[in-house]
Amino acid sequence: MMKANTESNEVFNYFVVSLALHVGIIGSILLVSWVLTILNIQIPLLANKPKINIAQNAVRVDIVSMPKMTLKELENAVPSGEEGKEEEKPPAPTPAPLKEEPKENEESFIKEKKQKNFSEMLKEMSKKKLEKKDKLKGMKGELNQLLLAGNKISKGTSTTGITAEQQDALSAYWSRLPDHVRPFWRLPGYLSRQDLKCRVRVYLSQNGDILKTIIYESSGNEEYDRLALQAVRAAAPFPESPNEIREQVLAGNILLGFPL
Amino acid sequence: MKLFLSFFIFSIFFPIYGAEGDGLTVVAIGKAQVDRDKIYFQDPTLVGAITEKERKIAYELTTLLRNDFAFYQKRFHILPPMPSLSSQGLTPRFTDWEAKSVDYFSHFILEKKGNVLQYSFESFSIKDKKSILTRGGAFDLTLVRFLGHRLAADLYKIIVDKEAIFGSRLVFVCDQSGSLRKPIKELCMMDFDGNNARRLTYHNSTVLSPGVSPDGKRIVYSLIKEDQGKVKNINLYLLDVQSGQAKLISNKIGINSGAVFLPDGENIAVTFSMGENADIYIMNLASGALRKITNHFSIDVDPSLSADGKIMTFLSGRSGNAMIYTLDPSATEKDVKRISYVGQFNATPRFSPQGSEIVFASWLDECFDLFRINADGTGLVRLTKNFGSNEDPVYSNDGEFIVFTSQRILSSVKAVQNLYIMDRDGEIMGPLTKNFGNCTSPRWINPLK
Repeated sequence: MMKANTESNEVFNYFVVSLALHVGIIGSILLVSWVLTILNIQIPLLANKPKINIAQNAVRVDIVSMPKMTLKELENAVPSGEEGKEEEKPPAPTPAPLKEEPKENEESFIKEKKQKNFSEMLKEMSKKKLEKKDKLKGMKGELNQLLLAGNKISKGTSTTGITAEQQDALSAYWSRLPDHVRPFWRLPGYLSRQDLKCRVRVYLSQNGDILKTIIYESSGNEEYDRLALQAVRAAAPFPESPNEIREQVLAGNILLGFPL
Repeated sequence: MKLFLSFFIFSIFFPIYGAEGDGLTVVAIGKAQVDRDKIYFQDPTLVGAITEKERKIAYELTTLLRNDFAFYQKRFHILPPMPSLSSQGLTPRFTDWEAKSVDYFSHFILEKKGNVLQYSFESFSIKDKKSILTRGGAFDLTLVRFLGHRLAADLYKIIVDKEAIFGSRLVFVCDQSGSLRKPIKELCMMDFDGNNARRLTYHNSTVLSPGVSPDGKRIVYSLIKEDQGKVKNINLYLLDVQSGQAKLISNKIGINSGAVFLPDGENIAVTFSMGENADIYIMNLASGALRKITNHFSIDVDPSLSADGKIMTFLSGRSGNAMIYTLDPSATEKDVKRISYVGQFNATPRFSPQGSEIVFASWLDECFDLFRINADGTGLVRLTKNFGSNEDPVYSNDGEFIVFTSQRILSSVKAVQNLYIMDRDGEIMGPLTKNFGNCTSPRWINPLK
């Protein structure tokens, strides 16, 4: 009986010691983790590197004939967005038509009907022309974006990846950023001739204001990094982010690649 | 119990370090707009009893420097003369030029001591406030263009760290000495900017498709041998540029043409028909030994090699239409790849020196126009349009420029062909030949080292 009691006491003691040790280990891990988090230190072996996705879409371009437009024409083509702005111009005053004024009381019913039909026909014809023109402009804009945007998400017949139709709010937002920043991304000749790249992490508020920018991957050239940061800051405010991705944008999940 | 505790530890441990596991998204902004380097060439400073003729030549040299750099208009902004800011000495006032955002400043001085003309040329980086190039010596009035191109090439090399085209020349075929009744096409040569044109051959016959050796000292070309006005054969010749001596190297029955040098300078890639189907061969110039590169029942012509000689592009009718292909020239029909899939009639594919892209002519809208395609068959773009009929494109040695033949129809019986230069994106800079007969088949000659 005594022997049994002694054995159960020993097991209990082992259990208590083991529990204390394990609690101690867990406590130390938690303490170290907390300290590392507070000091913003990452241990390469332990820390999981954040998963980096590249925002781009699969595009298949089928070449069916020789291109009609030259490279220069495509580069000089107005982006579709700006074309839209051009279309909003007030209509030009129409010159007085050069035709004989119909004399009063001479209009017969048939003539009136014919004139009405003719004017309707003209209207229909003009509508058709406009539709065709708009369609062409749209196509030109799409082609322009496809060829000029580089790695920008463009519509296409995807064989893999996400199609344009399947783009969610997130990728739609990403796709707007290159065009937004590129006008401010300039380099002096001597820097452009070096094969440099850097990535800038951007924290944005929902209305597109910059909260913070940091060099996430440096090019190794101080001036190149500075000019990339300068381009980001000059591009502010950024497009307003939709509610679905507000948290990700606030958390700085965007890396802007200069150039990739 | 231990297993339970292990799970407990892991469940606590990993979420802490995986907190950023949501993922970052890289959005590529793309290439930056490049601010062109502002470069200023001051008008020459003349010291001593300089004559009017010498003054004009000194000014010609400064103009030549400006013109040379203007070819690289996407890289350099050439500032016009600004006498109010000119320095009297060689060293510029850096603060003045910095205020004008000028990047480089160059100054040429011509000095006469007794009857001897001496020049000194110096260039400065305004940003670094230091001299980057100094040259000087005796000034030969007859070699002013040569000196100007050399100074420009040296300065470009220091700034860009690449060879410019300023020391390059062009060889081409010209019919200036012929007539309507007896057309004569001979080999000619000129500087890259269209100056110093001169005739190289005197066959009184028709020269075709020249190819230049990598050292620029030899040119291989075809010659139509006529017998009583009838074409007898198209033979292959080799010309020594310095001595002007040409020798027959192949007179096989049929076509002996379209020759291009391999990078070793000892072998050429050439089309032989040998009375049958045209195929491409590698021929050793010393021994005449042949190695067949293409072996197909259709016609294979127009070989062009990348600068390292590892890839060859050529034109072949094997798909039914004239299409562009590439292959590895180290063996017969090795790694043949079709590059173009469109085009009514494609012609004269030419590799860029880096081997990354091919420029070619294609029949479209009732004339030939020039197109560019990546060596892997992607990125087809049109370079010329509404600019006559454009053929025979060829890349400069730095890959930045393309020289080509452009034809204008003047009447139902008369047309004129001239050589033009454009950058690789189709920005046409202008004609290189004018009133020099019909000029075709341009090829670049590397600067002599």
